[in-house]
Amino acid sequence: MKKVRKSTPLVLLALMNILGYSMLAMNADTFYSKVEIGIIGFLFLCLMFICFFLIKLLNMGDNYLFLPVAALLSVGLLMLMRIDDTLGKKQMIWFCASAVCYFLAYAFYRSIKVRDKLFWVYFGVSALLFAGTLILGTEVNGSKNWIFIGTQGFQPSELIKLLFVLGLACLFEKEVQNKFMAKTAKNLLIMCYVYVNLGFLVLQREWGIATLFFLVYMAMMFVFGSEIKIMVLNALIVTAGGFGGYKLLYHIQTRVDMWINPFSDATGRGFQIVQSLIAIASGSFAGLGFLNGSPEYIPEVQSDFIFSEICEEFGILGGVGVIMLFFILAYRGFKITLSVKDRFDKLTALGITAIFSFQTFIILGGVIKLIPLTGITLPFISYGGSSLLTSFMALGLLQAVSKGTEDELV
Amino acid sequence: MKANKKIIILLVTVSALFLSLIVYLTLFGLFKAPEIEKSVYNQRSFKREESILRGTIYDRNGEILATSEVGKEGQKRVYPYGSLYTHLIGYSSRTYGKSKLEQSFDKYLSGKDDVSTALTVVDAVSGKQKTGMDLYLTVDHKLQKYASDLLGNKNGAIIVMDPDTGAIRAMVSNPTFNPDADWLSKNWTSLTESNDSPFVARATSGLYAPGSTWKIVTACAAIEAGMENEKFKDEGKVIIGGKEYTNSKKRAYGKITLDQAFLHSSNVVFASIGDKLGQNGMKIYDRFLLGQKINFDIPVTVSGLSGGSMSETDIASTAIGQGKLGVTPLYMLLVAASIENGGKIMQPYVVGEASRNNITGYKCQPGTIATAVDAATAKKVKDMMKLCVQKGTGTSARVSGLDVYGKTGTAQNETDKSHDWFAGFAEAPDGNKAAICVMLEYNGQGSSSSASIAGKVLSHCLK
Repeated sequence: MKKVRKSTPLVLLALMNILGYSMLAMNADTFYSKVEIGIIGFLFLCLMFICFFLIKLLNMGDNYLFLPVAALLSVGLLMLMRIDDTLGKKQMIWFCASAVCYFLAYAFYRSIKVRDKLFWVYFGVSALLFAGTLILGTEVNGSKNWIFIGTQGFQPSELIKLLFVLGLACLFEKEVQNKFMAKTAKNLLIMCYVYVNLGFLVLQREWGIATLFFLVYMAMMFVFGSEIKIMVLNALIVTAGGFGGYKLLYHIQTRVDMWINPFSDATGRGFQIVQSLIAIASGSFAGLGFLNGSPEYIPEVQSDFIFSEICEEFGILGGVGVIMLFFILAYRGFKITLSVKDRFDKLTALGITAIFSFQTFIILGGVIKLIPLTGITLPFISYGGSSLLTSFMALGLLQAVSKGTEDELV
Repeated sequence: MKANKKIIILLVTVSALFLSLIVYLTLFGLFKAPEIEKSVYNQRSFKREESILRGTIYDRNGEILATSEVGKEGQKRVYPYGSLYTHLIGYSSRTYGKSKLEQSFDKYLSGKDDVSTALTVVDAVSGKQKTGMDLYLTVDHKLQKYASDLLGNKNGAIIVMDPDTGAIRAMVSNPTFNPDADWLSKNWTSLTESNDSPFVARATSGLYAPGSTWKIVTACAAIEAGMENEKFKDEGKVIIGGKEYTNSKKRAYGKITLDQAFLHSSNVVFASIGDKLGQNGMKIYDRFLLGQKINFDIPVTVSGLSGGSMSETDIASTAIGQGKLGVTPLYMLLVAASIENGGKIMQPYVVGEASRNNITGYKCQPGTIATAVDAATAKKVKDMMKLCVQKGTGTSARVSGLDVYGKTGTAQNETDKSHDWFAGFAEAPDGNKAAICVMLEYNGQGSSSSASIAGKVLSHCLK
């Protein structure tokens, strides 16, 4: 077998970034000066390589996990740099904070041995965050899911994703012997936990994250709950809930109607999805080229619809590349899940992998009109502090789990 | 371990979800994207067209036929020769869209093709004005102008082509109109309501009975059936399926050969030949691409037979170019040119190449699209067409110093003024050739006019 040098992907990654920032610099003065672009690009590359170096130096388990993430982050940051004059800079600062959080999350998971006994902490913090959002929250784009401290807003529901997974892992961890009553009681307890979470999300109109939570729950149940009846019951509840919601809530009707035919109200309710499709269509397969697209015509281009802009400039082929990067990330996640022995570790790894996989599918499926659109960020690419911090913390946890399996990982 | 098996099932499920994204995106790109991109809700098209300067269109000698200028309100398309090229180059208006070459080669002119896209990236980096590709036509502006002047106010078409390559040298259609966008805005309603149908490009979209010019095809069929040395009896009239066929001016030519019948354009003899050959005689039409789509750089209406089954009378009428037959002048040009070209029909083309700074995005490859008849048959018909011009109905097309070949036609229609046709070609002593088709709409009796125009144009073209 031909030996691939381990540093090759890193060189390619560096090359891609250098190329990207050079192109930005050649078109400088639209948003940033050449100096600013140079500094941001240099800082980004440095920080990325420090992360790689630390992962290797501290022997933090899976060496490959950070690679697809770094590639996604590079694409995301370059896109944000070309969209307007502030987001890229801010995202760079968020990346610095996220990198710290990534190592903190790793350290937390490795050092706290009672991590599987902290269910009430996880749930308590979630509940506080939920309550806080409902009381102090501000409505943005129809979802009451932001808390503003001064001018800086953040989305508690992003952080709750992690707490939800850890909570579920605690609940699923204790294996119940073959006693019908005990099993049922446990299943009901878990259902309660899940539906309390879903209830809060629905109150905040976070349909995307609610869907994500449900899918993560189903995935963990499928692997560790081994109760087909309960899964069917859940599917029925959600179908009924979804149908009821469609009948009663205009908000959901819009999502479904505009999924079926966005052109029926292309300047109104279907505006976002129509403009997204047009952007992808104008990119065709090869794309218009970096800096040649028109992000100003795509609504919410910095967060939910950033993939449409990637497709416009890098083409459907570029879009498929991004999807493949996410797939590599999911694949590494599954690989870690498979190799790890400890049940709690396995549950955590599975939950986080499920979050990355399903969140990607929900938002990408939405912007390309494969499924109804529900607003949710694209991990590691969309602009947003809460989203980026949470994604990196999740990655930190996954990295920590992988540490326990390093002998078996290839 | 049982859990691991389920994890693998989950991995497969997630893979399937990701794959569904890729498949859907690919199908979208293949089937839906081209339509969606053209959506009226696409705000990009306008902006991109504004940012890329539309390419210039040149004739074969570098004369500018259409170009774009940047003014206060953005780009403006300028046509230096006004209505002369409207039915070939078309117009490009923000309100009314694009037509003809402006439409069919829009991809290149507006820089949307792959090569231009790459070049505009270079432009963007170097800070130059982004431009689309220029079109280099095979048309000769001087010839086009000359032909247009000869046509004057008459409605009709003149097309000149190189019979060896299929390159169009001139293509004039009347009536025409000014393609300028501002002029169009002011006159659009009156144009659409005009009885003259100025939007119909006579050369490529007008369907007419070809009249006696169709005898070129019928003569080919007769030769293939071995009738070339047969003697035909022409008593001035013949009745086929209850319909009476007579010659022009009710003449009777007595016992004549095929080439004499061709020379005098005897309806009696050719209708009889059509009747005698019957359905079999119509097989040759397929080889002449009748009823089939002919690809050309601008849209061409399909020439063919209208209506369902062919009665005995229908077949006989078709043999003399009447009845259910409807053809475009371009089609008759291809028929005439194929006789010059040993029976081979060449792909007609008018755009030689699309390029920018010597980087080519599109280049026409001349080629044969059909073999109508074999070279021997073509040679025999060619001789008949020469006689026709030397001492038959086409004498007005004679040009001293050139060998002119052709066939005239007077096509009856719903009015008492018939269409006046000439289809043929000429060879100069230096080896240059040109095929021509002239059609004058509702020009009345007598073919002198179309034949004399053909002669003058051929003379201008080859001398």
